[in-house]
Amino acid sequence: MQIFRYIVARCLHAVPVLLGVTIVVFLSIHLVPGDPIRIMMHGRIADSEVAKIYHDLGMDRPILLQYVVFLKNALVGDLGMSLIQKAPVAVLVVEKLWPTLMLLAFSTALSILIAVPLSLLAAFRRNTWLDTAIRLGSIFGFAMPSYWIGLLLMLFFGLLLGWLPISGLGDTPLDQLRHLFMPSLTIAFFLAPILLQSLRSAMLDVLTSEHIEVARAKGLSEWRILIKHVLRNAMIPVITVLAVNISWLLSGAVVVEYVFGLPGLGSLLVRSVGYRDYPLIQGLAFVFGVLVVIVNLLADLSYMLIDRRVLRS
Amino acid sequence: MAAVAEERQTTRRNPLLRELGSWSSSLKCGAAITLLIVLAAVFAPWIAPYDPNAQDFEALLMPPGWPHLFGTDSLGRDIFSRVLYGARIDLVIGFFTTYVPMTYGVVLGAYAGYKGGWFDAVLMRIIDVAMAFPFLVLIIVILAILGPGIQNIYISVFILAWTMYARLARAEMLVERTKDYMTAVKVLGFPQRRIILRHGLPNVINSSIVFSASDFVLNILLVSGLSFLGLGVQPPLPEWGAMIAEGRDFIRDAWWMATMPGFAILATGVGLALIGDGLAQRLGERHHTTV
Amino acid sequence: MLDKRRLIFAALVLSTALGGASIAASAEDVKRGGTLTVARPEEALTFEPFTPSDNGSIYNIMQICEPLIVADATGKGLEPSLAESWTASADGLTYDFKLRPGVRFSNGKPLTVEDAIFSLQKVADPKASFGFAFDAVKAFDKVDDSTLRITMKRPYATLESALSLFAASIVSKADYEKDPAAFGQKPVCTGAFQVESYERGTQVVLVPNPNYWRKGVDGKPLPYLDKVVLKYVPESNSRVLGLQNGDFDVALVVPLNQANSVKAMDGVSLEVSPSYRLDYVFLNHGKKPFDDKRMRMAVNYAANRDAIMKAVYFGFGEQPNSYMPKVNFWSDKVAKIPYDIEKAKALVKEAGYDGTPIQLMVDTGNAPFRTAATILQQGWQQAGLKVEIVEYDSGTAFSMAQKGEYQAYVSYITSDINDDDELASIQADGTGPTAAFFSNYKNEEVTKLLAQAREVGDKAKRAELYGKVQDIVYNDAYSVPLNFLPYVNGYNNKVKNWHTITVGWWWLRDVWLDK
Repeated sequence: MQIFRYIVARCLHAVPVLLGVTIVVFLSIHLVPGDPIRIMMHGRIADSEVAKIYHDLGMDRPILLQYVVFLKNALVGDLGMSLIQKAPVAVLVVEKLWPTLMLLAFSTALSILIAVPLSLLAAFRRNTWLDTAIRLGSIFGFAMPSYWIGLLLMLFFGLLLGWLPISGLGDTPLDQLRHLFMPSLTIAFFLAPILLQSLRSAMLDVLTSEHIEVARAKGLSEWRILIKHVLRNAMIPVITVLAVNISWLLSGAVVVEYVFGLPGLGSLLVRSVGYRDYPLIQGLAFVFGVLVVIVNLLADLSYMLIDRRVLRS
Repeated sequence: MAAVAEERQTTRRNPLLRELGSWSSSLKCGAAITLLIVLAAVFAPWIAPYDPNAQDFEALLMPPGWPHLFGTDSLGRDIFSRVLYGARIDLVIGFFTTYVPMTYGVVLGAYAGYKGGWFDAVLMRIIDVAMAFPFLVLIIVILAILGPGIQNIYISVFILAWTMYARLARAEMLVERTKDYMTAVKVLGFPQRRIILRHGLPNVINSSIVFSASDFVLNILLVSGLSFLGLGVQPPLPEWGAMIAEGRDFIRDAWWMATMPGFAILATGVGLALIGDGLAQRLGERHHTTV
Repeated sequence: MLDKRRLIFAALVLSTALGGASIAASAEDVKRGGTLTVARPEEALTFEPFTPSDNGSIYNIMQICEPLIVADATGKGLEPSLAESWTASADGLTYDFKLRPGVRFSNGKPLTVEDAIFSLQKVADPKASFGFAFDAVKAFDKVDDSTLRITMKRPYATLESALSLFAASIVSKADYEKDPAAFGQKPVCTGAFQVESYERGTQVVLVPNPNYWRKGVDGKPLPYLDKVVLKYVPESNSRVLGLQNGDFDVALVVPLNQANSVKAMDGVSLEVSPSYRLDYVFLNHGKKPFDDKRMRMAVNYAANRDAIMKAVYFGFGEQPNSYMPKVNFWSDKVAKIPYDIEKAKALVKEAGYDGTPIQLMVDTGNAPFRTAATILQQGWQQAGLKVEIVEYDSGTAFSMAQKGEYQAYVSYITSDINDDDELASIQADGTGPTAAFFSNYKNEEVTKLLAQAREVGDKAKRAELYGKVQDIVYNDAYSVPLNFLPYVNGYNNKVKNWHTITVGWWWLRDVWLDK
């Protein structure tokens, strides 16, 4: 029962945030100084057409009513029409959602693969040169501009060695993985250090906790303790850190998609800024906001589930 | 804290040396690197062997060597000199985009944490919403509205970046306000403003200071990233991210154009991150790298 | 690399195929079949022919849809396309177009007069993007099942060119009306190819229109290819790399700094083909300080064009001696303004420049133009001017130029017509609707010469008049011309009959693969 209440509470908590997201997104086009349509169409448009577009967009109605309409439409997935691409924003966004989600999944997996063993090593050999080296390495990873790392990877693996494609997204699933490898690695360069740091301290916490002392007293080897008790408990920080960093991760994806010419939400955003396609920019901001809220909600819920199991064990 | 105090009592040397002696190695390394870069920025006009904007069409795309340490770019400009001058731009923008929002972010957060009530509730909702967006996405949306450029980057960061500080300060204040000394000053009838600013702030600011070091790194990455996307600092200003963007087209035949400014960002980032690391250990805080 | 801005005025066009004169291939030479993969820097936004003004869309539409008239193979005149023949009344007010018999759309439906009327009414709608080109048209009517009549409000010599516009393509009325949005994704036209699939921002796949009417040299219907994949590859390094390792058969717009390494690649050819394009710095004569001819001359003397040719164009192109692209009546007799900083300094002093910074405008993200601006900035500063480079996204920058809210703007112009008249009038005639293409240039003598040239039929006489105009306008320091820029593309040697025509696109219908 308590769990049910918790779930409801978390969901309810997300509602005002989502409302806030819609307000920000809605206002974005209204805050454009001057005449957004004319700016968007580069002034190459007749007055009657401008009026018609404003009318079609419903921008000649009272602002509160416009917001209500916007909200109602957004609820049913109608995000308006892209003025440059002449297609519904929702369709454009859904088309580009897949590469972005794949990139996120792949880079998260890669980061976990890098961070978990290294943090284990660092925690186990804490305060040795190895620990210091890993910590220093993660500071380097954190301080590197992702677009720069992307370019360097492109130069080495793509242009000099010719092993990997340097841009675009392939056709077959296997080809797509090949195309996604370098972009994902680029993201892992800054995501893995963040994971690593939290994992290391979480593991140290567990290592010094009481039931580990008990396990130690039982004569279990350090490695077995690490793998059996610590790694399992490390699930929680991984999820929390990933959830907290989802917005950061998405920010990274925008830049990385642009560098590698991946046809995802991020490169669509950068391009639509170039075209000044405000409905599309609005729609993308909305989707990014909703993505973050959903991921946080899921993390909250899964955290609770794991937490329960942790409590029970 | 106890250990630090003990150490202080036992060391009887010059106070400055004593202070330095108590620094951890990451703090020392970080401070040294950062100091070096700050000095390079300040003394750029004296160190730089060339005018950063002087074009030389007899020396286009020269590889690193002598006399062009880092090589030259597609206009024959000396990349080493440009990187030095670039430090001025990136450090200044990084500094202001970090510490201006921190100032009012901490005050707002501390106030909300102390007062609670509707102010706290509204502030937290605003922060929740701001944090629901990927930071870069919101900045890009604001820049799409205002147009690219340094000035508009300042505006958009000032609108958004205070939220993290407000959240940190508020969380600390919630703990501080229950402590004895706070109750004491309250009982003594000190005015609220004085309680928050004089007594609360010094105690809640630590986590923000620690965070600010990594935030500084993140802001330099952000600004150079925006410039790389063509939304930030505009060439021919020698901003590091913009220089990398210029080098992108030449990565095949002149790798140094994009590589050298990247090392500058990396060095600055590592220096500041080490400081943050050291401060975190020293102030007993957990290292925050999250946004 | 350089996004080509289609100027609405230049679009009042004759879509000439000058460079497209196909190399005569005998029947046994030509091989059929195969897939051609082309990497393009521009994105296709739509296939709806009536509205686009971006090359990403237009070049594709040219492969899929056809107008009534197109340019002939030599580019010197027009050639019947969907109209088999046409006649004009003596007063120039009535035109009768006879449709080519037996033409069918890609879905098998026959082409009718109704389709033609519907399409032309769409493009001629005054509110449509290209409606201005049909301003003089009064009505489109059906005479009989194969004849279309166009009635004019007044005689209009450029009607035939207007009809050859991509926007005047004939579409299937029934399919368009059924769902215009779906039509924009999968058009039903009569061209050599049809759309098999369209992934926005990724690629377009074209397959032959089985009902295409034109025949190849082997006597069978065109096209020769089985399939064409037009990939959107904005990253220039990727295009070159893909060409090198064989992923792409053709890489369009090779970055000039890599052109020579592309040339050196095994099995790859570099195409450098002339274009009707001039890169130049727009100067606003209506604003200080460029209202003063001495200042305009000064910035010309202080333009280091050798450096620009070296650092921006890597030797590709030709330093211009004209204010407009190198079209048919271009004269080589006009002497170039030399690079002379001392002269520039003297002129700046003489003009009494007050030190107000000059804003040199560039499109955001246009690296070559930004580099050119940076070189100009250095030269102009040496001449004693203060110069700031300001960047705006291309749309904003262009609309500022249109409104005359600029001082200097690094941009370009392209002509889609091989005759000087259109562009010379647009650029140099101060009485025209664009204020001499946003320069606010006014010269009565030029206006008179242009009017005269328009009436004269004799070619030699016209050449003389246009040469005079070129001389006067160029030496009035109308602008700061930078380069006659060619198209530079790379293609695999197995690709045969590949030609970029002067207006920028290519006829995929004539291309074949030697496997």
